[in-house]
Amino acid sequence: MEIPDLPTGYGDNTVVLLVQTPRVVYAYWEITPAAWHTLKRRGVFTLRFWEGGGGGAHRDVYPDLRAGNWYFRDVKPGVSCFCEIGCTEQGVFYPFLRSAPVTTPFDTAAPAEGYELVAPACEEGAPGAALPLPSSGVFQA
Amino acid sequence: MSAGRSLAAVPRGGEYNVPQGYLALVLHAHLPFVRHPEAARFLEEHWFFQALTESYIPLVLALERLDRDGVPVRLTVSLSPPLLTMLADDLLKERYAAYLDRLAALAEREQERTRGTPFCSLASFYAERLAEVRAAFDRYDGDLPAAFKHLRDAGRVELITTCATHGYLPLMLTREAARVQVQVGVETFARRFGQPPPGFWLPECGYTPGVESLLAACGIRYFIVEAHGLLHARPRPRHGVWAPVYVGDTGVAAFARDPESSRQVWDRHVGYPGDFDYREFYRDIGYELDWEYLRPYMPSPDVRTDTGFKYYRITGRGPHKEIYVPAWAAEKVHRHAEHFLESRRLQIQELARRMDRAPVIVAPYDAELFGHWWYEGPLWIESLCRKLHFDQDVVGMLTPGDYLERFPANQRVSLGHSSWGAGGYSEVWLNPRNDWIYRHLHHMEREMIELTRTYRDAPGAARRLLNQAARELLLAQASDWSFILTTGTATGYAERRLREHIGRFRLLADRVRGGARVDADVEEVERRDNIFPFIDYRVYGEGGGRRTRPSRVEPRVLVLSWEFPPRIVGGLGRHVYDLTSALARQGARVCVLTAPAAGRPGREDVNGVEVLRLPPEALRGQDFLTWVDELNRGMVGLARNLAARGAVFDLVHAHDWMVGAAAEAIASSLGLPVVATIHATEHGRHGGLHNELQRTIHGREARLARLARRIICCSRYMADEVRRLFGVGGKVRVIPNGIDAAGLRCPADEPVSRSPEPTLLFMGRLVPEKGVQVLLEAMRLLRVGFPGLRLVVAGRGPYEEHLRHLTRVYGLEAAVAFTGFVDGPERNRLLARAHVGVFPSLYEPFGIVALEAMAVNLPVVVGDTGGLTDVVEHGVDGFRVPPGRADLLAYYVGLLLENPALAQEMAARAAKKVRTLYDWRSIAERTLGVYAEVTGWRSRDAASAAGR
Repeated sequence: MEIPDLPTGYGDNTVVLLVQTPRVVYAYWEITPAAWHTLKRRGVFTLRFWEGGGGGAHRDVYPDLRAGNWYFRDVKPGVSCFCEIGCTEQGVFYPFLRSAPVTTPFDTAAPAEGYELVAPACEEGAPGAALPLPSSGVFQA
Repeated sequence: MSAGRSLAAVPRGGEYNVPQGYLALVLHAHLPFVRHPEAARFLEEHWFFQALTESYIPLVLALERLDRDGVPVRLTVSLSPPLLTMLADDLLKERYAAYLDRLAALAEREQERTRGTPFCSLASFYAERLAEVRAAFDRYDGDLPAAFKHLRDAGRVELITTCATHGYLPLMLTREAARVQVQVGVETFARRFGQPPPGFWLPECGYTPGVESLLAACGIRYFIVEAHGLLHARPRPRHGVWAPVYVGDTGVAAFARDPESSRQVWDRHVGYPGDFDYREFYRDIGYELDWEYLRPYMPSPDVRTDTGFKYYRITGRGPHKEIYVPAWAAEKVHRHAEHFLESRRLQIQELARRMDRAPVIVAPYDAELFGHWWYEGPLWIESLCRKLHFDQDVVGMLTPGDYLERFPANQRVSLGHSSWGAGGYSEVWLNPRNDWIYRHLHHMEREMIELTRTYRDAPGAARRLLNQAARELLLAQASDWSFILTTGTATGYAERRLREHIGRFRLLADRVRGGARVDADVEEVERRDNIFPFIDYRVYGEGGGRRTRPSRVEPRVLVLSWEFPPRIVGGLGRHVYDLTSALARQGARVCVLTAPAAGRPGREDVNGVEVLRLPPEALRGQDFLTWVDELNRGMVGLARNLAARGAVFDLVHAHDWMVGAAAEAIASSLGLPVVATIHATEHGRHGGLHNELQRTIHGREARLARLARRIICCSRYMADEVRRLFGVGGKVRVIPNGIDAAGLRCPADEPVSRSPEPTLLFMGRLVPEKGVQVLLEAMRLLRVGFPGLRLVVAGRGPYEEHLRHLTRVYGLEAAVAFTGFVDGPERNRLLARAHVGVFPSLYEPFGIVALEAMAVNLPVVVGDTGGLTDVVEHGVDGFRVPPGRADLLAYYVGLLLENPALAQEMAARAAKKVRTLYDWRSIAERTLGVYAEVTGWRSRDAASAAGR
């Protein structure tokens, strides 16, 4: 079986985010010629990155669309992010594609707080039953 | 687990001493699947041969010596599926025997060559070691897993496994791909060892949220993460890395690597393996002697490589090296084992003072570190185990599984993404040297899933092609390739393997679509990449290959629904009709209990479904709630009659709150689990609870939600609403409604073509939440650029007059047509004539009309709300617009109108999606998957896979 070269594209419109570290998120995309043609005619190709969901802060970058990927740096740890690909026309951004959201991990420990112990329930997927601690029931670390 | 329990109190001179804490030593053995029948000798196959000679067999020999000497060692060993496959492969076993023969011949020549020099005794030393390995290999008849199984059965090791090809889970795109990596890994293990593993090694300790539920579904009880993966959990783990935690509500435990014990062994500067008396890995005669002398013993005719004959010790940090002295190294082994044990003893004594339980120190290592990289490593393990047993009683030895048996109550937390790679996250597997691979791997994931949906039960040749495509995907996903690309050694081989698996996958997918022929070249690929001979590509489908289950365990389902055709009030009755018919076609035995319907008998067969209707006289209540109570009492009576005549069911499936009381009574008296589909909520319908009746209904919905073991919702939006309103978390599953695409097309003898003028189509009830008023405003904007644009509004409702008024106000009377109610054929004609379907809802639980448009290749623009967010992927198969934004609605409709190629592309993707995702067969299979969750068939599958 003769192995073909890797394709330059798969005929998809897609943008995907992958978490590299708590502060770096990688994006790659593919735009079909028809979509590329549409975007090119409309305005400036724009990558908009959202931190903290749609109501959070966003930043715009303007990479070469054909580059196909971008590393977003200085992202906040522990936040949900997504990215949009679109074009900016007369100062207005029109999203054309939207990634699925990803969540960056925390890079610090949580504040100390009380806790309780649980034992796994017999039924798969069911929450465990809470067991009281032998002493106070809630331990402040 | 009896052996594990016995370790809690190891006999010491007639007394039983309870350790203050535990050491869990975990060795993970993995190599990528490297097998090249096309070449007589292949350089990279020697990775496997070297690891066997230097690590795996010496490790087994050490454990056997401990066992023979009565040392109650308790170790955890993870054996990866590729390694298990290679260990069982006849070709590789034959080649390994030849490899040992060559080395034995080299050993003889080395003894001759070094005679009279200080190196001669070392040559003899290696000759003896090789003979010992050879004898062990022959004694096991080449079957090393059998040796591990024997050790497990003797209670000396706990065997676990990992992903099918060691795929790195945090960077996979789809849940299905991650699930298959886990599922096929577990199945490979279960087939080899007769039962599923109790624990699971996450490749590279790579955790990402959601992994725990995949493991739970396979019956896994624990996994291991890097220290910070646990320390950064929410809430904060009370005992740090020295006690496990349960992840989410799955009951699957996470243990964490102890940093201190890790550093003592792993650290390249201060770790034991760097001691100057240990053997120097990087001085091998393979790189130093005359090539013509070495050539007969080398795997490649033109590449130098390691032979294992290494005559020097580390000596110091510089290039000068002194001769290796095994006795000195052995002495250091014992001192390092002693040091390690003393460190653990002090650590545990300190921890035990602070903790309210015995701490566990989890020390996981790559098995290949011991022997291959650190030559003396297996002896160090052996020495450590002996000292643990004979020299102290503070530190006990156990496995994570043992610890969970002793300490089942643990804290529950949420974990974030982490790994044990450099940096602690995914930098090793995702960086500019290897990031190019993910677009290809992700495309393969999507395509494999789509192929599985398209070819659900492919026959003969197509099945072979699809099974091989699944193997190629799995092989391409091995974390080894991206790792090698980062480290920069053997990158040519890693890149070649990636290109081969990606390329073969594409060719196989093309073959499936192009007539499904198995030619000689495909057979050649099957021979080469022969891992997972049992694989069934349908594992990528709904329910994870559930259809491979023997028919005798197809479920018997008692469905409760107040609506059923011909009684159709809303969409519920039609849904239950289509779903139960599809379930019956899948082999399920379904009985529906429902309200009476005029002219229909009390009992009839509908598409293989037994339908029992209440007698009309059972429902006399004038008051709504009284009528509902009568309905429920009547259903309980019908169920009682069924039980009396011997009918047996596996579960009750209740549709909406109106049958909740009956579901509760029947489930209670027959001891059955309940699955509930919540189609809509009272709160959602009315935007809150405004009167007593609404509050009563809400209370009954909440009761049903609590009762149900699983809740099915038609969209993520509805699932979120149900979770929020009723506080039910992990038991909600999303399964969309289905449509019958064939019924939406115009008859072939009455073809209808697109209108000559651009035309938009809206279908639906004319109520404010459908957003037609926004569409009219968008029309006004669009008409500037598209003067001939027309809009057809199909449907009726209380808002119609206001919409007509707006049409006049906007001056759109000539452009907008209100058709009123349309029947099926007329609806199909409207769909065929339009250029864009526009459904700008402000609130929409599901959005079936958008699906209908998509099913017939009509490009769509929809409101970005409710169930529509599941139905349309923005920029992929349509556009979604924030509710109420006429300007954006006009923008995206305009994009489609002015770019027919783009519109066509999106419409084609949308139609394909509807065909594969929203057809009733797919929905029935997903529903059967939910049934399996509540009735425990998965565990039966696992047992079946294990050959029990």
